[in-house]
Amino acid sequence: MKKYILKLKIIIILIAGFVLFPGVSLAAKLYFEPSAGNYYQGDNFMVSVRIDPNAECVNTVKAIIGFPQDILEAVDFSQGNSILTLWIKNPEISQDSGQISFIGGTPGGFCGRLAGDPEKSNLLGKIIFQVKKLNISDKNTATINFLTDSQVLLNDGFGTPANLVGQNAVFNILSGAAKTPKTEWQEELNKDNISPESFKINILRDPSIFNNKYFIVFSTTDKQTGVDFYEVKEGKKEWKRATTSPYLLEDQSLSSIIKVKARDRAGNERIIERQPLRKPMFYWLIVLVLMLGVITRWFLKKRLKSKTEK
Amino acid sequence: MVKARKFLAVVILILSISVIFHIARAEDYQSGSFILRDPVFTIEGGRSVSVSFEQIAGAGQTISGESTSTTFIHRAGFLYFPIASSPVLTGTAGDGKVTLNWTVSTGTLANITTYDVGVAAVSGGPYTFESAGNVHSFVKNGLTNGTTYYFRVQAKAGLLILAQSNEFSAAPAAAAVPPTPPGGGGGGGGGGGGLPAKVVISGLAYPSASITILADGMVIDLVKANSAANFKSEINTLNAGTYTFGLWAEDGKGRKSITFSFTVSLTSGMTTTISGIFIPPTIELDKVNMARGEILNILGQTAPESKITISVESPQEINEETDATKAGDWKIPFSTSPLEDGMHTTRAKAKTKDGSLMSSYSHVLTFAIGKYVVSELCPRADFNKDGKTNLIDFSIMLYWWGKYNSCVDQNQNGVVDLPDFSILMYWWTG
Repeated sequence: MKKYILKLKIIIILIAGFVLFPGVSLAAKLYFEPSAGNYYQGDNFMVSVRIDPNAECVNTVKAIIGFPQDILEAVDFSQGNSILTLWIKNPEISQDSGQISFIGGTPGGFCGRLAGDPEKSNLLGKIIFQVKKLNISDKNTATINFLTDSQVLLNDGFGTPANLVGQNAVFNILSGAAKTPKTEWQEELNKDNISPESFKINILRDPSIFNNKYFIVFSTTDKQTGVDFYEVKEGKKEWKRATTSPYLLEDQSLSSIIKVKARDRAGNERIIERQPLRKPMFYWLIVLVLMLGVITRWFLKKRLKSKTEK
Repeated sequence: MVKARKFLAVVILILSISVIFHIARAEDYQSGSFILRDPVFTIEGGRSVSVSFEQIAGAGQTISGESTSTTFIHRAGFLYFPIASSPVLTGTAGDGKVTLNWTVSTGTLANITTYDVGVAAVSGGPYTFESAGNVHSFVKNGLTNGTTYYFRVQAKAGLLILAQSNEFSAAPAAAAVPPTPPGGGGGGGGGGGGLPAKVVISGLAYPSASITILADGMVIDLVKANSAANFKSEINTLNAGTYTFGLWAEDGKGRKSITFSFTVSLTSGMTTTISGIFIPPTIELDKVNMARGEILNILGQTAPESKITISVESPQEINEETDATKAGDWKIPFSTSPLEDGMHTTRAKAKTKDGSLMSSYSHVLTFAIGKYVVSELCPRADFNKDGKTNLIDFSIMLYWWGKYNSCVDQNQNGVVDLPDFSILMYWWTG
């Protein structure tokens, strides 16, 4: 009887809690899709990382994801079609520690799925896993989870952390190998024939960074498989890998054509070109020589004319 | 004997009063904007009309309720008027069809029992309605590709139309033919693949406001609102995919609104229409540091004659209301007497004059009372002070990430970290 009364009390307290503090139960949710499944050794599969802001507007996501490194190998992370468009920290995979981490933001905030949207529109990214070859005879489970350092921040102008819950995914790893191993990521790559979105190159300098030297900023997204890397070419120099902008220019005279290449994970490229802000020196020399020639010719002609008259 | 008669008289009197009270007791009726207390039935029914009003009197009765028979329904009781919230209509154009979706319409004093979908050849109608049932999506088939159709949804309680949605327009188009994949890998240049997706964005801002439209944080269009504050933008340069669109407006006084954003997936070759956007009002304070008791003028702009509600954060939130002028200007002289010394914040939201649209909150502005002082160091995360918060400021933040810079460290916690990035995202103008 006592037990029953205690149970009842707990239920009443819980109900009262929800009625009196409805806001407490509100929390943004990070989750995986699919959250369960059966895979064989050698299978290659994708897990989407998604967010449900739960009636809040959020603008920053810091995710640290743990996975069993002895069972799964995280081979890639796709930012394609992510709602995060600016990445303070690009996705990093550490196979040794079994962790994947990233920090990204949505300018103006993400306020959840719009009524009528045919898609979920809440993708943060996709992790591509490969099931390792294991010496196991029985079924194993692989749990993927969000570690406690993960954070989601509200779009409130103060950087307030949102209440956050993370939902795990548990996959069954079956013994043996599939007759036809899954190759989900390869199929995505084969489908992608669209280049990254168009973008602009801004040439700038600011006293607060790079000792007031000229640098360029650029950023784009790729809606299919995600941007893999950027490369920068100044004039006739070689292409150089740029982790991200700001990129310090080598040619501080700004007389070189600047090209930035964005390449997606399927190999599609978009190259944007920016004309030099200042014309190269040889151009000015040619103009100067021509002008001198014209002036000299005019002067000599005039002199010759005056001599003839005399 | 006299005592017994007196007792009997008192009992009869009490019983009579009780019966009369029971008969004459009336129910209160209320809707969203009024309460009718203790209404009394007339002895006779009838209808009285004057120049400015009409009174419909009920037939004599003692209680409210509904009586039915095989041949008639008698609805007794005072007439009062149920209302319902307007459904928000969106949709996607397909091949010879348009798929419509709308939000739930919630009735007050009535339950919504069905939705009718109307289609028209021109904006504003006339619409031809058909019943969709009590559902929140509908596929309109048999449409001609390339022709723009206009849709509206009515929410009904029985036969009574209680609310109608915004107008949604879409032009069906033939399904996109996927391009042939290029031979071999790599390849330079750019572009390629799939028809572009079209998006139409419309709504209300402020009279003659300049509206900047962002896709994934980058400026993709600039439009001007008309004198009634309406604006519309059509963009057909985007590939299919998920985009976060942001809209901010600059009013006639150079004040910028908060970026209103929404995320939606675009389909190749299809038109997605987002209508009914109401950009939050601009907001400005005439001072940020003051003594307790001083008047703080909170002002800004919104759509003409909208109702503005400001909320001031204090231990107990204080709300005040005002109406914007025909030019969209609004101003609230706020007395700081009820506030304690310290830092406070305020923000505003607007509701259109007809009540059909309500904005989300404006920027949050901070002011200080007493010895406290609002820091104005690099406000709005504009680190290079060019009047914009964009990729350049993001780059400066990346440079200082994990280090200290008095300007970039927006929350002044000694390091440029996650909250500073969140503040940058909040103030983003593109």
